[in-house]
Amino acid sequence: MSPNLQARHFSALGSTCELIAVGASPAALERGQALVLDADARLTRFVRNSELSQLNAAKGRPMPASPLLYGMLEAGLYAYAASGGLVNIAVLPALCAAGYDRPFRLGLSQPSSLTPPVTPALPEVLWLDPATRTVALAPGAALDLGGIAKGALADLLIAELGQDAVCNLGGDLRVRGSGPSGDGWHIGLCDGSVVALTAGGVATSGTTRRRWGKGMHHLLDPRTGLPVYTDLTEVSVVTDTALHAEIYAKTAVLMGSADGLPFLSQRAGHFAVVAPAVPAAAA
Amino acid sequence: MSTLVSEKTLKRVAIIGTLLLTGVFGAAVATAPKPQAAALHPSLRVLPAGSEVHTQTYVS
Repeated sequence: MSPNLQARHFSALGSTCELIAVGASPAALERGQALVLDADARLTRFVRNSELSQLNAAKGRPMPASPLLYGMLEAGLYAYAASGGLVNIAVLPALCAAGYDRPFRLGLSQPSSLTPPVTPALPEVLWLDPATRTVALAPGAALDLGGIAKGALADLLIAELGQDAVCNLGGDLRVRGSGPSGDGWHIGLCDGSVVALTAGGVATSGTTRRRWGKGMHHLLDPRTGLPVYTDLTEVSVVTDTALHAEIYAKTAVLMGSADGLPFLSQRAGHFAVVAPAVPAAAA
Repeated sequence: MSTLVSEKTLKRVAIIGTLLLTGVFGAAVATAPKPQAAALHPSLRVLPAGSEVHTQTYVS
């Protein structure tokens, strides 16, 4: 390992975050951490006065958005288009109906009955005005930025960490530089394999974490409003950006292997898959 | 009535035609570039099992 290696680990975005850099000043990592914590405070859906919560509660009224929130909403619309509607940040009402209505660490309970609300097409409920940086969300709609925020934020923050760094926000990570070994940053993927990467993004999606009740998990299929039933339990994607990796990995899990693997073959630079021999029942 | 072309001649023509088609398409197959696995991006290299890991991607 390089003697110039700096690292910071902290909790944010409902996950563990890790900033690692070769040759960067401790101040650069401290600034990076402060930016992540600021983004967490703005983008969380669990704090009533966060900027995202204010948008979710605005009942259709247009409101000015910070550059950060505006950028994340743009990323959400992009993800919707790039995934054919499968990655949809408007899934929050269905997520709450499934029982994920509080931070996961507080414990979630099985809903007594599950009749999920219909998840709307994102472009039909979210309006952005770039001229005034004003945003509006249709009454009844609500957003959860989730992995989209982690991926897009990792892409934004990597520049803060110098020329040789990793910005890993809860498993969604952006990399640049040759790393402490000189041949790229060594990234462990979901199947146990390891890649060396000098530029790009990596993310993993799946159904193995954030589970509660009887077969409930956090990855909802917006077509049904229910935890997805899939034969791909985990997918790691390596591609140009963390946002793309997040979108492609989540889309593939939601599609399942029959459509998801061809989808990945056409887009991802490299991917790893964990699939059970027998598809796991979602409920 | 006599046939214009004998059955023996027809068989010969069929065999020659088959041989010609095989030659043409066989040559085409032989000279066509073989499909290759998509090349990894130059910034990416798959490491041997058990390699040192600097950070990990995971479901969160």
